[in-house]
Amino acid sequence: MEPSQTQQFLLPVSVVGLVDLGRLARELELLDAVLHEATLRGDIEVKVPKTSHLMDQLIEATRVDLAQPKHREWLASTLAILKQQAPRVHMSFSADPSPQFVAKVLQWFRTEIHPYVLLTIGLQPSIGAGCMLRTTNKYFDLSLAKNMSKHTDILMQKLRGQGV
Amino acid sequence: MTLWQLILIVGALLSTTAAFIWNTLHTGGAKKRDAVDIEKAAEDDVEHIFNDTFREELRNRGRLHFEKIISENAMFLQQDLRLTTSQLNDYMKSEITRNLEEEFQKYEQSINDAKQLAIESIQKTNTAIDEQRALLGQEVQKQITAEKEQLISRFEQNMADIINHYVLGAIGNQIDLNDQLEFILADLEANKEAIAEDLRHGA
Repeated sequence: MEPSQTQQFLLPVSVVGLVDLGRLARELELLDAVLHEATLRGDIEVKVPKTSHLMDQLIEATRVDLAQPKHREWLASTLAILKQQAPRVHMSFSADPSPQFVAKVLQWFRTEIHPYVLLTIGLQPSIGAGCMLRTTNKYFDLSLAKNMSKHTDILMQKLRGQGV
Repeated sequence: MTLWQLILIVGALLSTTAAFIWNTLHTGGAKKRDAVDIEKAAEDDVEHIFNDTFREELRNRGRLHFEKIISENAMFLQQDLRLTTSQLNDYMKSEITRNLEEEFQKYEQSINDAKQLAIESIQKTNTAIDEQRALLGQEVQKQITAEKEQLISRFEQNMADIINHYVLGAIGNQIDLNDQLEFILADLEANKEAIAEDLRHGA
């Protein structure tokens, strides 16, 4: 296998945002340096060092062989392209979300919106319930307060119905 | 005018009385001279007919006659004076009464006019006060209505925030993000097209 196009690249949900991409890129660079040194030393059997859990998931998802220089080069270039061109969204919550929660949200984005969406998590306690979503040019208020403000008529009907 | 007339009447009466007295005295002098002439003639023609006794008697008679005339004229003058004084008193009474009545009528008329003016002024003031009170009432009512509407409008505008604040204050600590996942995904689904559009065409 020698993937050559970005569309064939499957980004795992454990890679959430730019931080993870940068971490992967640095790790891949180290790996490449280690394997290149081994090649230069003339080692007959080149053994890939132990990688991180994130890198393992990426390798599993992309099915690349890091022992192959072309695969490493392709993976590095793909990560660089993703770092520059992948669509980014920023979500704020009232509390720090769990990794499972982030994974589910990110799965929805990559399924419904774009397969390479990168997510940045923010903390905004004043939200209360719901979230705030910021894309490249837009701001989506998905909080409970905004939702209730959309249904002000119903609330007023309820209040007036109770004689307030 | 009335006082001048009174002075003229009194002056006329006094002048008449003085003229009468002078005429009487002048007439008495003439008679005395006639008696002297007669006496001289009697002395010339008939001596001793009119002696001193007779002359004294004539003199006494003349004196008595003169005193009688003086007395009568004084009585007439007194009656005239009394009558004039009485008429004058009546006239002054009537004039004073008439003037007083006229002055009282004028005074009463002035009082009535002033009273009418005061009543009209009070009525105008009352009318103006009623109008001002009505306007003030309307203005206050309008202000209260506007304030009420403003409060309701402000409450309606901020109602979502108010309810959100109380909801978070009541159960904010009990809301878990995992419990909100369905709600968040539903909202994302509702805004899916807009998000995708912005990510596709965003810079």
